[in-house]
Amino acid sequence: MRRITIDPITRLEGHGKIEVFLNGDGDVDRAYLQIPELRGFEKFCEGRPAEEMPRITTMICGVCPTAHHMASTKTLDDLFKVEPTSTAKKIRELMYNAFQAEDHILHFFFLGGPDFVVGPTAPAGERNILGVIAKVGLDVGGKVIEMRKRMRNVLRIIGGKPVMPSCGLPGGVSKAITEEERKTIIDAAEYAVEFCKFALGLFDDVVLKNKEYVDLVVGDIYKHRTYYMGLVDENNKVNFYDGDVRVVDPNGKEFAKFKGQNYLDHIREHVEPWTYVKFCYLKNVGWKGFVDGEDSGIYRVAPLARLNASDGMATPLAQEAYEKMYEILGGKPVHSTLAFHWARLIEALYASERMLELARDPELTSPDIVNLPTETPKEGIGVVEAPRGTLFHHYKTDDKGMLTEVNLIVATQNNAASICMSIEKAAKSLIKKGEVSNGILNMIEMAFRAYDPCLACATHSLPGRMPLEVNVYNSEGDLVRRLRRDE
Amino acid sequence: MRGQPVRLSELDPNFKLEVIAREANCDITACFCCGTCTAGCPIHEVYPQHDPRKIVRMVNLGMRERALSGPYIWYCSDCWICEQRCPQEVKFSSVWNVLKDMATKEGYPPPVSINEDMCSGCGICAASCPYSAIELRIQNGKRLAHLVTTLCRGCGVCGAACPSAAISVNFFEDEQLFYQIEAPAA
Amino acid sequence: MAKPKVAFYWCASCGGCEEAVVDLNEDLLKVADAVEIVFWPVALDFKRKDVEALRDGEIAVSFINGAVRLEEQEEMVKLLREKSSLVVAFGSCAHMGGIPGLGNFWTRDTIFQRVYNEVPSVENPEGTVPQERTGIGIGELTLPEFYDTVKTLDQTIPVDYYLPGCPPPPDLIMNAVNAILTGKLPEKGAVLAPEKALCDTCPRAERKPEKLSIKEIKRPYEVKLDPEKCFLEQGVICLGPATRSGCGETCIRANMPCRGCMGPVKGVIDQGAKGLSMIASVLGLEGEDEMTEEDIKKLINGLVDPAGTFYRFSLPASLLTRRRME
Repeated sequence: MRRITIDPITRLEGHGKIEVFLNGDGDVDRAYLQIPELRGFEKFCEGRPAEEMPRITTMICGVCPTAHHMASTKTLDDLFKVEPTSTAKKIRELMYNAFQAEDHILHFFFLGGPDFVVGPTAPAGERNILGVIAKVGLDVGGKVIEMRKRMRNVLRIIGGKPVMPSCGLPGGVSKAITEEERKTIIDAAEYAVEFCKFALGLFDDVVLKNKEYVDLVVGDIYKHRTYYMGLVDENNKVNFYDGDVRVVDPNGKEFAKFKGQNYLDHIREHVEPWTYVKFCYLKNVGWKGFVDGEDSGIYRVAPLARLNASDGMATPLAQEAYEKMYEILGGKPVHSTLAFHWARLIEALYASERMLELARDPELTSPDIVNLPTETPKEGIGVVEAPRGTLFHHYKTDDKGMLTEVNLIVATQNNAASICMSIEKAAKSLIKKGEVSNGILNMIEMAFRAYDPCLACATHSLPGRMPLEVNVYNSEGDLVRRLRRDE
Repeated sequence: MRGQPVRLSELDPNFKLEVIAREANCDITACFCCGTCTAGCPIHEVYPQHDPRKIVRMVNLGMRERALSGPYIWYCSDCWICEQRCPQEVKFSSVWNVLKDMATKEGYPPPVSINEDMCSGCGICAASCPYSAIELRIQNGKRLAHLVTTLCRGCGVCGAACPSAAISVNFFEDEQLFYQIEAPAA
Repeated sequence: MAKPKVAFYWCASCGGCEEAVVDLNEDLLKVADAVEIVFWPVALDFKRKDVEALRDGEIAVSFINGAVRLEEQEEMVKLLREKSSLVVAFGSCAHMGGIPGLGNFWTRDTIFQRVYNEVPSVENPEGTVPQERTGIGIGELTLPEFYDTVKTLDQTIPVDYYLPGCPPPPDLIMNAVNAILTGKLPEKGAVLAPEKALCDTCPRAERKPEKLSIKEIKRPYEVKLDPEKCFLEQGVICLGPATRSGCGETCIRANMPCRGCMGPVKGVIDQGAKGLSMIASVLGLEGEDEMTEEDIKKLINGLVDPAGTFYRFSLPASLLTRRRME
């Protein structure tokens, strides 16, 4: 029994590592993704005042703090049974879409996209934003930085600072938007729409017109037939900020639709002793292990899943792009993991269009931004779609609003089991007879990178090299070979 | 000026009367120097030079300048042990207040100073000073706390309250306080 | 001339400090040009053994963020200390423990019990919890040890400078980087941020009343927050007076009170204690002579969760460092 350890992986908070075990023929027997990170928010938030949670849970993840901020704020609405003002809802949704657009674009250009633009087996030193720029021009890099800057500025205007915003209150938000600020936001949103159109155009040129990539996208290495979950509005269109949770089965048929408040009727978490992350699954199907198909309760979330679970996009340009994707990929649902990248860009376009709609809304600058709670708090559940998946916050408090119990289902957890499966499948498909190469290592990584795991740091990969070292041990535990991805 | 003989010419026989007049309740002349006060004083444990018996003696002798100019009257932490144990029922806490009052009026600086380089103008000190001895003044466009020395009684509330540690209260700096806490426990 | 070598590392971190570096935008490219990054697990290929292979002190500066809560993190920061001339504690967590520091109100076991056994969504009839070693038949899988107590960076290794904030604001980061590159650093142990408290630069300071007095404590959701008045004047707890400035008052400008992420000002050892004594000093000042015992009790009880409020970011760095468990 040989064993391959890949440690550490990049773009996971803390240190993720992959362990691959080979059988006697040198083929992959099992592969495990271990996540050694835990901080204990579900315990140490006990005793805190509930209204502080939007500013504490942001520290769960500095890449998607706005997602936690928003889920937490909505949980407070439910906790105090207070309806936010109409303006507050618009401000929140506007902020939320600016954040989604920024995050998705960042992932595509700095993290996932380089694999396509430059090539999955291209030299590691080129598989990064610099390689992308070299391929498509200096202009692109400048545009990406500008896009991110403008979106972050919108977040700053509404929430104080883009990392760790602080405007969420039960029943509303803390700060109103001025006419001056609205102009800045409209400018930014217009820029975003144009940029996302450009990004989809780039995807078209670079990926869709390249047969090799298309084969990779639709091929079997990166495919799982799972259930899909996402938030939808009353027309079953994708909505990041609010709506019902909808689940479709691997054939695309609606399996469940429920309010976030009823999440415990549908979702359970499974514990394994070899990792700190818990694995979500559908309670009404059951945990059958790390397998896909109708009989396994494993489901996926995030861009592709949301598109699969919905009936379309609520804005025109995004809807066009949605239709085009399903046409090319052969109908719904799409099971190809790499299509997450495509769906991500479509969502970024939707987020930008939605941002513009809200920015132009006359009600946005109204001073009526908060309804003060009057009810005694007891229990609240809030749900949003984080860039990386459905996010649930659940708080119980005493009469004074001090937290007694906290439960969190954090976006990537919903995908945790699928990520493990994707890595194992990729490893099994690619590593044969004990042959391992740097290109193969990267292709294994592409399996998890498509999910844009939440605990990731959304940074650029400057010289873009992936820190992978593969140690090959024989059954005696002796090191027989060591591979490094150096360049 | 240790070890100097007490010169009659430097004594002010009215000093004690002034003190008594200010605080009708306290008859310091009742003191017979038993030293019970000093024996129980926690500050004396740490700073031997702080000696309640000595202060009262100085007042009774009329050693006005030495009593008011020295640091001794500012050390007191207001724990009231001396007052509670005094067999002659001398009201020490009143005595200290009067002496501090007299000291600042006569221009002896209270042991409090505000460091303007650290002061953020938050105003917590001004709000909490029981003697209204701190004012907020604008200097070079910045709000800064300013000590009105004639009103200060060196009580130290400002030093405790200041969130920037910008106010020094002599003998009650952090390090000294830690020492005072540790000493009785040792 | 060789470019100075720079390393970045993260312990129990959320990634926000990495985002803050990227928020330097174009300036980041300038920095990247001026230095040679030799270690950055989130982005680069370099491994632990590459750091081991360097000479002691060869890395000009290591920026380390995140609190120390795993064995693996402790080992790594000790290695980086050996190989670096300067170590900068980057962000609240490295500086004071940060939000993960709130875990010091509990222990490893209580946290595990809640996360893996008690939450309503977990299905775990066998009571499985993560283990440092798990046999899986074909081999053994390992996880690093999760400590009972969260430590700050300087409780683990000697630290030369601190960049405070959650996360540190981009301009403070740039100033620090420039200071390092030009060798114009203050004395060791300094926090690379302005020295005064937030009130010094707060946009609401001018309109503060002469004498602050809190008549009744209001939680931020109990009143419509006035965007011009000092929070303390409104009765809302704001840690601004006890917190170092330099963040641009971003939360105040979003009309929310300060929660102290920049840490204490120079010379203050325990931010929470200062915060507490500051609030206590102005609680019920006006009309305090007329207050009954009941009134006082009611006033004080309005301050909910004092430990979590005053030590929100600084529990591991405080004098007590953690709650004593029975």
